[in-house]
Amino acid sequence: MTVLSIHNLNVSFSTEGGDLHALKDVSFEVPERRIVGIVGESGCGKSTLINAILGLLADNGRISGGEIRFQGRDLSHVSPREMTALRGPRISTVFQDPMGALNPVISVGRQMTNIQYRSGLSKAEKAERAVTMLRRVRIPDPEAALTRYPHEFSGGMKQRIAIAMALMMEPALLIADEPTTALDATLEVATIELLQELQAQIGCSVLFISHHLGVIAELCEDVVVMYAGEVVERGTTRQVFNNPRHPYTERLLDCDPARQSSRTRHLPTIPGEIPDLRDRPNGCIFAPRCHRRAPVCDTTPPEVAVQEGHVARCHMVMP
Amino acid sequence: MAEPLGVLGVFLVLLVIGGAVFADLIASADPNKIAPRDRFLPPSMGHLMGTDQLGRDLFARVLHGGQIALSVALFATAASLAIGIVLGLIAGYGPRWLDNVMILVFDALKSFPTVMLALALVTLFGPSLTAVVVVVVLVNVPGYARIIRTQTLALKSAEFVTAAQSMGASAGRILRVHILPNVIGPLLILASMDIPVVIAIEAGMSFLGLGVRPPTPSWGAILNDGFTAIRDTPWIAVAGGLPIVLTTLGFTFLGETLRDVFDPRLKGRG
Amino acid sequence: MILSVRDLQVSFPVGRLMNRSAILGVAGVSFDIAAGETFALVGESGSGKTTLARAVSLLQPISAGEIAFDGKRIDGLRGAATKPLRREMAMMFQDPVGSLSPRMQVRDIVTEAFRVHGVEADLRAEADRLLSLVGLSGDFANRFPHQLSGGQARRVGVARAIALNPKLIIADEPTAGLDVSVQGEVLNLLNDLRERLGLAMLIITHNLHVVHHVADRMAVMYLGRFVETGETEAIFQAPAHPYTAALLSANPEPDPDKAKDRISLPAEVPSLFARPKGCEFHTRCPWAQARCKTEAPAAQGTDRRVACHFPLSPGERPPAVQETTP
Repeated sequence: MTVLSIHNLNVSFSTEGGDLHALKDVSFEVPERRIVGIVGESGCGKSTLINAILGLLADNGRISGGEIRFQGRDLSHVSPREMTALRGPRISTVFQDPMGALNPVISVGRQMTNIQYRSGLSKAEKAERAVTMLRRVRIPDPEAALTRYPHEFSGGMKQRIAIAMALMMEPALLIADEPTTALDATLEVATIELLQELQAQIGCSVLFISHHLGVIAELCEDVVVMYAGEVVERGTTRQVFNNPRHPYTERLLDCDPARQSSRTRHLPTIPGEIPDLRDRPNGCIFAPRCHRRAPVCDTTPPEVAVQEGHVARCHMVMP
Repeated sequence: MAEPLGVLGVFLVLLVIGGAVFADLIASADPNKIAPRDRFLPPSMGHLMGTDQLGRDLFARVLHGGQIALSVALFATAASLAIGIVLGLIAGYGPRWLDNVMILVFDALKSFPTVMLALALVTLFGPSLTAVVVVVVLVNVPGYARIIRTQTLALKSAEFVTAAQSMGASAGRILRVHILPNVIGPLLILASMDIPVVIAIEAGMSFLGLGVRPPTPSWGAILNDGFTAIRDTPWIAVAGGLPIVLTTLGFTFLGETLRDVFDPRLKGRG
Repeated sequence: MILSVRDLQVSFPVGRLMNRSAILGVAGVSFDIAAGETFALVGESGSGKTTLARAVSLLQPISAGEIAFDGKRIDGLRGAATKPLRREMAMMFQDPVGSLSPRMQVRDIVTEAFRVHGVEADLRAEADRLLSLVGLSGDFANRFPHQLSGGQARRVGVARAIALNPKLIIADEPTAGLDVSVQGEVLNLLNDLRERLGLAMLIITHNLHVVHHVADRMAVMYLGRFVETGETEAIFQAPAHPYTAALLSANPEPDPDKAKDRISLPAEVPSLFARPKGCEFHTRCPWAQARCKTEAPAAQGTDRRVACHFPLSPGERPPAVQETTP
């Protein structure tokens, strides 16, 4: 079964300068037990996408088209109360800054038992569950950790506690928004390995957002490449990274310094900037910066199937 | 500009300022001319606000009183700002021990009730506008300095300040060019909202006889004159009190509107 | 040598009154940078690399050691005496927009050094010249920092740093906060300017891939000490210190088929309050042996230095580990 299905999602914000069309016809799926990555740079719309899924769009934002289906249910028509019931036990989130999840004035143990309030367990059972979870994320001396406060832990540990909290209720979907971006390299890989382990044990799906291509390649089975609010390419990680077909994906992979195996004095870049999303052009959104641009690119590009499951939204892709 | 109170505030303030600036044009009478035969006249066409116990035209006295109120308010506020900003910058940016000493002094000053300060200063300077200005400065400076100090402390470790330090910029330059422009905004709005308070201090001191000396037409002095005669000739007290009320309301509305206009923009910026 | 550092130590006092002690942020570091050379300081959070950079630029007082710039001792300089030095040594900061004064226009930001040092010049013309050197058009001169993108703000930072033709630029995380497609811009620019202006550069970063493309020589820091120093290419080919090897393996490439030959380290870095005995890395080192727990290794070698009792041979893998269930 598909845990999350996004179909032609459109999100707009009303601003002083006009309507900002932040997400345009975004479609992808997160199957059961699968880790799906979203790759994109600043302005690609990843935060808007997560907020739309969680029902947390700002007051001036609205879903102007399409649907978000979680386990078959259309989330765009769900009441705020029902959404609150879903967030936490069924869909949980880990953010870039663990302090987004951790209350600095409440002990870790108290927070972890608080979020179990719907479980109907006794206080002792909730504490037991918290300790087990902390042990699973390799927090040393978990019983003592329950009485400590977030500031007593290092950045890497706080992030692991946040992950423990997110996975404790065994959600169907974990949304991880740049969870390792603020961590050092060795800590980042340890956290990624931890996520992989836990995902295999719990069997949840993971939607993993990052701009770190190496981490996506290692962790994610499927990948969705976003640019300026649109999905420009998607497929399995192997398909997209080994055979990128959309010019943006190609250039993005080229730019990653990790891809350059030998030393070069001149690193590739993508010149130009994201266009103003209040004024979306009719044609391909990437055209102004594209090295393969042709006159046909002034019309809306179709989604071309490169292979089974591998799709790119571009005129210049031969199927 | 959908703020009715703000518009009203602007109107009132302009009214007061206009009255003060053009006092001689609007009121032809001499505010200090004593005319014993015209004592205690009620308001009429010849005397728009009536006359006081010495026959002086109250309307002219009120308008000239506006000059005093505004000049004291502006001068004293400007002085408080200048001193408060300098002290606040030094406290925030300088060595820790200096900061501690200055905070002690500020807190000590703040704990003095205004009336006590006024009395103490009057013994030094005698009742006069000088005393009023010094009282205002002593009352306002600790608060202003505190605000600047807190903001300066926060910016002291900002990266753009470190960048300036690494370039070799002197402390004076850093305070003047990098820190001051970024801390002064909220303070200016606060100070404009304090102007009614300053006017009230001047009026209060003059009412108590601690401020301007007769025959200078301060609103507080007029209020004092009218206070004793309020039963039979209430218009004197009205002449003294009404401008104080209108000015206070005007500046308060204006200041609050300014603050509301600037705050959300500050949040939305950058 | 543009910069020479010998046995540098930076300690921070902690505690008050009765129980005062100190922790060593930089615990004895020595290195040289030649004119025109790019040297990278690599380390993770808590390694002391930022402290070292600040100490070298005299923004942080040192507790022991010597620093010499262009042949002259500078570590004893205080206050006004440091000013002439600051023309020769310029810094670039981590936060691209935050390191620019929010109410100053770009024109004034990039020419501030002229004013600080009293250098007579046509400031408008200089601003235009500097902006074009970093690839920004003239109309950027009127903008304010909040109107710049991350990449543009970085370039303004570069322009500001090169204003008075310094001999050394210290760049703190030059690619932090930049999208991948934009990182190359800054690095290419720095490389370009190096060649044109003959600049030496000290780059502080935790991003090893950046180091590979930009630095001639590098040093890896751990808990305030250098564990390995040498030519970048040589170290990348065959890291000799276990920590270097672990760092290199911890940066995944965007290649899903690449075999995972990761060297995993236990995640927690020891606190500076409780430095491990012997070799300070032994608590996390997959190759640690008995000697490592008691005896601190001295750095060996000249151009290529390693502080390890058992430096790795090329391609050496960690010994098989017993899996203990947590």
